Amino acid sequence: MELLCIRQWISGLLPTVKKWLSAWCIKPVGGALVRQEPEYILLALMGSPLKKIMLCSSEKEIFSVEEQVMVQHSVIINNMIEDGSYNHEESKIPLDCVDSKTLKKVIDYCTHHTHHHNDNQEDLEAWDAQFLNVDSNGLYDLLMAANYLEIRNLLDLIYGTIKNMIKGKKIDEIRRIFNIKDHGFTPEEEEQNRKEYPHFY
Amino acid sequence: MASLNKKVSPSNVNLPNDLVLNILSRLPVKSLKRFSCVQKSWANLLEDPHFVDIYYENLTSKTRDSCLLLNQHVPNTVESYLFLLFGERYENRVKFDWPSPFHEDNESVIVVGSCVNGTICLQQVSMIDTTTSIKVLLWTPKTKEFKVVPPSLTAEPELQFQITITGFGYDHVTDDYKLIQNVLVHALNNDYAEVNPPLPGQFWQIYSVKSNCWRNLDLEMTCDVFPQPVGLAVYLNGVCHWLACEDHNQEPYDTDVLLVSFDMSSEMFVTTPISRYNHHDFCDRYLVVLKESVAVISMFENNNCFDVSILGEAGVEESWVKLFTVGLPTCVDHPIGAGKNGDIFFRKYDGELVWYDFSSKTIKEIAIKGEFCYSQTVML
Repeated sequence: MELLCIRQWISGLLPTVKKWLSAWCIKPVGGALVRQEPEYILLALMGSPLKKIMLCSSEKEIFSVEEQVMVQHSVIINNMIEDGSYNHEESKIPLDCVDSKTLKKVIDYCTHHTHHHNDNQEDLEAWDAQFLNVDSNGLYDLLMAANYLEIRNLLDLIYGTIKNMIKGKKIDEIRRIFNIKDHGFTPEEEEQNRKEYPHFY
Repeated sequence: MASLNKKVSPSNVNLPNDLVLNILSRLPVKSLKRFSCVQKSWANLLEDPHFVDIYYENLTSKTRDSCLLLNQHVPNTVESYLFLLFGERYENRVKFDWPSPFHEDNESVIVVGSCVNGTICLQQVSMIDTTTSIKVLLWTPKTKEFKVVPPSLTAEPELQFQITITGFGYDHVTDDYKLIQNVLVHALNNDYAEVNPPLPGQFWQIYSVKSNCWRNLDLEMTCDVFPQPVGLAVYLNGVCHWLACEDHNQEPYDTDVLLVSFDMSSEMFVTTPISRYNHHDFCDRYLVVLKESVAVISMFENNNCFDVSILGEAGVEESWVKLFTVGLPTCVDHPIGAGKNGDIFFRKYDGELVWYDFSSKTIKEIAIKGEFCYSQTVML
């Protein structure tokens, strides 16, 4: 509790401190002071959760997001930050396989779940349902992004949704859903299947 | 969640194959068999050991709230204890106190069937002369509430009743908890038949908490309940499943093992034969619930292997899918139940309880010894 109050106090002081530090032109030295922005110097010392990182989509669009949020959800980003391969000075993580629209949604998901993790289960589930109210293409893009970034809970959520989408569907429908153009059966095999299990089709 | 009837928009995105397999690995066996017609590469997924590994992993309960309930009977005594084990390696444990009727006397208390919605059915059988006295309790550990189940039969001097509680489950239609039991009855002496109408041999009774009484069930069942005290009954999604055997009277030892699936609401049952093995292979079977599927663990005596088969659809013999076979060291005796991550618990001949870790393919001890133990995954 104490720490929270201190942080709030510091945030309140920020504008004044910022002016003061820039007047003294304090430059980064050493491990703790890795950013040039004065607010980051102070915040880094306090271990503030408001540290931000930059994610860059395949369309070269930059998204700023709280470091804590992404570190909590994405194993890949967490590893990059922990093992030091993410250089805060370079200040962006390139995500070449994720387009802007999808990246924005992923960030939305992680941010909501970090800030609302104390909400009750029903509210979270309702939000998730609304979040996944997208077309199939969007859903698959989200799945691939979540897989690439290794975001476990988002992956489970999407898998669960897709599973419900396909359970009980006919064969032709499944082929359409997964965009299967060539099913690999010979014409004889396909005909045999249709004869043997007409209710599947 | 998208409803089953919602029209799914077509997609022009091709998902990478490993993601598609991850989706398929979450489907019930019945769907997988149907989808084997979708694409050639999906035709024999359950025969691909790599896919089976992923599939099995998804069958297990990884929720943080689930833990292992272990009913331990101390060797060479009649003491019975209840433990809750949790943690990655089951390293944390809590010993549960039995509810008050069993506080003083915990002799041979057993957990019957599955834990249903946080409620457990407990049974204590004791012998006083030739009469068996059974105490049955329905107990909710979280609230410490319990309900004593009244006896179903009054003692008759010339008859002997052998009662086996076969199922404990929940009827979602009447919002009621029910118990189903099998009663074997025979006369204590041969003269009985001369003056009395013929005895039924066996009959079934059902108890419901709301009515708080037992009533007879009209079940035409030709099979006998498996003569094993634990590990034979589970509850899943409104249905109680237990193992039974059917005598063919043709050859000695020629009994077929069946799965009986009893619907708690409709009070009807279906049977599913379990694949017939060579009858000279002595094989023990145990029922467990793996997430949303009923599975049978078959333990073979001659080569100390066990295999895990899951039921695709009750009533359909061909729907059993054998996932894999695993060899065990000779010190392992028999399975006692399933754990959190699909770990299967076993008892060794020296009494130590162990679990089989699929990732390292080794057995691990938990420093508890027992006889007639039984474990299951619960959320209390």
